[in-house]
Amino acid sequence: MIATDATRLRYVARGVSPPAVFHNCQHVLGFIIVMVVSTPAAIASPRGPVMTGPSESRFSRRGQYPNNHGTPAPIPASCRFATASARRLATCRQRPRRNSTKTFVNTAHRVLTSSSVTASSFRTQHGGSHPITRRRFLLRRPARTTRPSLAGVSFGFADASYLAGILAAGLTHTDRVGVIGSTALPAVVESFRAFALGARDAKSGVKVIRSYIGNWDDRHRREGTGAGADLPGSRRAASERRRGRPRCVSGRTRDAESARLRIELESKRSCADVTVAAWSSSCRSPFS
Amino acid sequence: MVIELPLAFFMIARQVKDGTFQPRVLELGTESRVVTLVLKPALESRVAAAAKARVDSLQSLMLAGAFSVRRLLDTARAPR
Repeated sequence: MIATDATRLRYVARGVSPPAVFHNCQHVLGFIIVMVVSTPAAIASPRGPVMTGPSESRFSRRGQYPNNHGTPAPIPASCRFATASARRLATCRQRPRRNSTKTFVNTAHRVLTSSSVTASSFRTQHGGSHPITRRRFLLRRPARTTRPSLAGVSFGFADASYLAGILAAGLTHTDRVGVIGSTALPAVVESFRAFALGARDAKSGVKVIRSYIGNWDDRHRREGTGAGADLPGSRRAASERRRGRPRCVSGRTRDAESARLRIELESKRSCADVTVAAWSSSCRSPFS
Repeated sequence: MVIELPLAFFMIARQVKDGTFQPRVLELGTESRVVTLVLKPALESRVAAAAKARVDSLQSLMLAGAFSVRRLLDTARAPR
């Protein structure tokens, strides 16, 4: 795993030496750390997918969430587990439909990985001789955590979204703010609720317009424009700038190195004048 | 919002190393410094000082574990 300088500096600031994994993706405190994600774009960066290698897209009939147009956006089945809230995860009795991970654990492969999927695909791709297969811990997001070496991870966006809502409310001149997300996954919905709560706490009467892009990897996609918003750098945004039309945009982490939230105030006419979108990881793939 | 996955892994690895690793659901958010809101410096000038001060104050509380929006969402009538 290759982390940015900014990330390393944060460790240094805390008096903690950055683990070697940041440099050569080999070890953290003696453990190899591996990430397996559902799709190459699950954690994307402007330089391309952060995760490559043991990633694959799988689609599920039940793993569908609507986008702005009410049409289902196909989501890898594993994402249903990956994005469930921690509480649901803790009580979830539903096993992943594929038993590959269970098999993977049972066969005592030793892995420490944050995964929403398919350890078996990793094993298939890299073979049993890969060093990670000799490691001990499997760390994955989905459902059950019944094995001694199996834990789930849930990332909480509510707090940060709440703060983003406060900032957006402080920026708007029209009392209309927008927020863009990928799809209406539970974690995203919770994040939007927190965003709206923060915006309204900061400025009562603010209207929050939510928009779902409908996928995770196409930053130029225009489907998520229900708020009159578009992603910066998109063809539509560029076109509207040329025409002198109001832009109602933006904020997506485009800078992988700093991985900062962008909140950009643009002119407006009939839509939100502040729109916040997206989040990004500050790390890169252990396989890159 | 920034997800510091290296930090998440580092925390897990440290638990493993210390023998405190438990098979459970780990919630990693602002309190654990894994998910944080980081303003782009170039845009900071656009943010009102009062809003920024409030955000800084709340973020400090979040980092200290004294304020959780998730609890707020559970208890308040947050907009859905």
